[in-house]
Amino acid sequence: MSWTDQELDDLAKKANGELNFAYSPSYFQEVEALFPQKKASSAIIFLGTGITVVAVIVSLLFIDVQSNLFSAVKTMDSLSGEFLVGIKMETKDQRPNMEDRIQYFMSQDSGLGDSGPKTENRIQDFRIQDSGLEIFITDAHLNEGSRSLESSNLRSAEVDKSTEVSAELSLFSEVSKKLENAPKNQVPVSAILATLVLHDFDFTQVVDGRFSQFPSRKKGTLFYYQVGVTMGQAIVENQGEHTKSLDLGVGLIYRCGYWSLRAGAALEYQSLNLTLAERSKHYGFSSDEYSNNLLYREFYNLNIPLTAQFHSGKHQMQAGVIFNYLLSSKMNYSFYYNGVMERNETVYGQNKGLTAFGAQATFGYGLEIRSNWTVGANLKWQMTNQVDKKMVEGSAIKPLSGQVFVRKIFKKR
Amino acid sequence: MIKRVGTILLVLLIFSACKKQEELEILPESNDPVFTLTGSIDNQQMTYLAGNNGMVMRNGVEARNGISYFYSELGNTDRKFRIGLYDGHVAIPDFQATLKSGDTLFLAKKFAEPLALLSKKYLTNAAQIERIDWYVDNAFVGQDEVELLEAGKFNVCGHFTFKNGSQQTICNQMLLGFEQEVDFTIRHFMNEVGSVNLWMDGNLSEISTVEWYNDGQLVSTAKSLTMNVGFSQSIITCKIKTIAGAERVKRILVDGKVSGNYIEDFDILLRETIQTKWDFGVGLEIYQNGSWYSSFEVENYKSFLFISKVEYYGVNSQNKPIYKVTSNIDAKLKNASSGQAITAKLQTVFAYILQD
Repeated sequence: MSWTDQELDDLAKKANGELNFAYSPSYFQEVEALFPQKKASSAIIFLGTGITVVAVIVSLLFIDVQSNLFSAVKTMDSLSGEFLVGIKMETKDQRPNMEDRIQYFMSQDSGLGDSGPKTENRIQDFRIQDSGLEIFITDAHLNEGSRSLESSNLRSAEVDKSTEVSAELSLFSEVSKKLENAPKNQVPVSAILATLVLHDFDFTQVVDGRFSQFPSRKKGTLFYYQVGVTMGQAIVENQGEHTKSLDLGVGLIYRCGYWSLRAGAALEYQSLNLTLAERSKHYGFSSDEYSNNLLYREFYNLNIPLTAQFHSGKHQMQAGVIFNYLLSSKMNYSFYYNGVMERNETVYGQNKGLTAFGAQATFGYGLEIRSNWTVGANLKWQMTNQVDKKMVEGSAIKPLSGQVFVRKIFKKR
Repeated sequence: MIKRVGTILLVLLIFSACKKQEELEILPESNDPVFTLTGSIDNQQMTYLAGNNGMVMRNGVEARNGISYFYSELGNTDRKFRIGLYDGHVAIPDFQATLKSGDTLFLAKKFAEPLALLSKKYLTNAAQIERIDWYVDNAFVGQDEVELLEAGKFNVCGHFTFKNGSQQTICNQMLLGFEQEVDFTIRHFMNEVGSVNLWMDGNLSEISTVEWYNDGQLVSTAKSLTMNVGFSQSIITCKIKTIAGAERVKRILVDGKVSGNYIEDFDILLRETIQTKWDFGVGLEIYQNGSWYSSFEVENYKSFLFISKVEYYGVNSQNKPIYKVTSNIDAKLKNASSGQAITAKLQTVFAYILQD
């Protein structure tokens, strides 16, 4: 015997009508306990804090302070019956068992265990059993103002754009009703799931008829080019001026689910004021003093970034290493003999007093502002000495720098 | 698109690599101060480093009373330290003095007694002499009696006025305070017919050659000379070389008239001294607080300069070898005008330029 949609709907309504479970945070704590715990070292916490600060600052530039969740509900309210067409959920083929998880939540948390088969049928009706749906919940609470659930640790639901969304219409219609009808402290888990999906919902994209800002989250290799602007600490402590640079790079991104690896090459033009001096005093019957004064004004670097990125919706966090090689430089050079300037000229291509090879640790945040375009900020820390300490008057440091970038991702035609 | 970006990157790379690259000056290696002076002067610690605070090491050789004095001076306009070394064996031309590790050199002190007494009373014909005007290195120094106190090699001229009114001048080189090397006195005997015998009185075993000149004409190379000078006065010159290379030239005046108007060898005017001769004697001079202090002014018989190391350093602009001499000094110095004495205990590395 097979259930018709109408029957299923009726059953669901009946079940929901009977639904009266008490919301308890302990459910979520139990679920949270299922996830592996990570213990961050103090260094990671320190760096994480720095990254977070940068990320938040940058995010504020691009993100409406209203939460997606709030705007989603608001938009949902303003739309008529068919507003959920095209809900953005991306598939992840390797997770066909996600309906089981949904069943788990619905059966364990909602008290709908006895209606499991119906739920399964409903999921089949939604035709997401082949693509998989991944939802992780570690904590959630009811936001009374927005009439929705909010979670501090959400991962996006993923449904292929081939997912038939007509079926989802009923789900969200139903959810919205449940949200409206449910007691403020009692929310059906089906509503939780739906709200979580809603959380990632990008109505703009629905209206535009596009489903993904990223070409694909399936495994695959993409290309990118990137422009970045960086400002950093002076390399020598008492030489107060900051370094400023502009870089242009290209490279590859290998995408695998939420993670991606990026490797590329970038040419960087760096403007700075770095004074190095090489002095020699040769004693004999008296002494002769020689001095090479090097005022570096420009560096031309080749950078090789190797980073790993984690994607969550529009957001991405990235960490990695950038290897630097000094290609060329421009400096004002002066040579003194016993205090008298004998030469003073502009010299190119020197690396005296500098370390040609270097490496930077980088941590950053990116936001996909539109299809295939990402803006972001990186915090970079020079891990290797850039200058010969013997030629520095003062203390050479391993400078921190902040980069703002724009990245375009594209597929090779 | 990727081709376009790649092309831009390639152009930028080539452009940056093709920039003109200038050579920077290669600086010589820094080194530690070479010529130094450390220690205490009057219990005050001091350090002089050639090349710092305007301190310079200067080397030179100067003639002090006709004797070469090789010095090294380390200092600036406010403070100076000078160490000097007198020549030795000065009668031997081109004698080359060398310094060796382990040498202990004495400090020269001014002579307290006259080294020569230029006085007619010590001459055998004093009764015939009315007056003698003495000139040292062409400067008039006195009449009849003059004491020579300083060491050195002097050209001493006596302008003799005899009782009969005749006048004669004769000059001799006198070496005072240094080893004579050739120690002899010319004696002569004049007979009544104008024949004169000349001979050398002293240790003649080291003599290699002798040349006798009469008024500039070579007349003999024998160790003694007998010649007829007639009834006139003649200046007889004797040039002697020793086996060691020392040379001496002496002049005397003989009187053929046998009237006693002759002039003897000036060496009879020399006075023996118990003080050490100044051959290779060291002098120290310090300039500080606007005054010079000198080791020549004070008794230093217990003082010394010990040479602990001699190293080759290089050549100077005249291509003469320079040696770096490390030494310890323990000496007294005195300001000649105020009489104030100071004590110096020093370690020094000074330059010594080997002279030809």
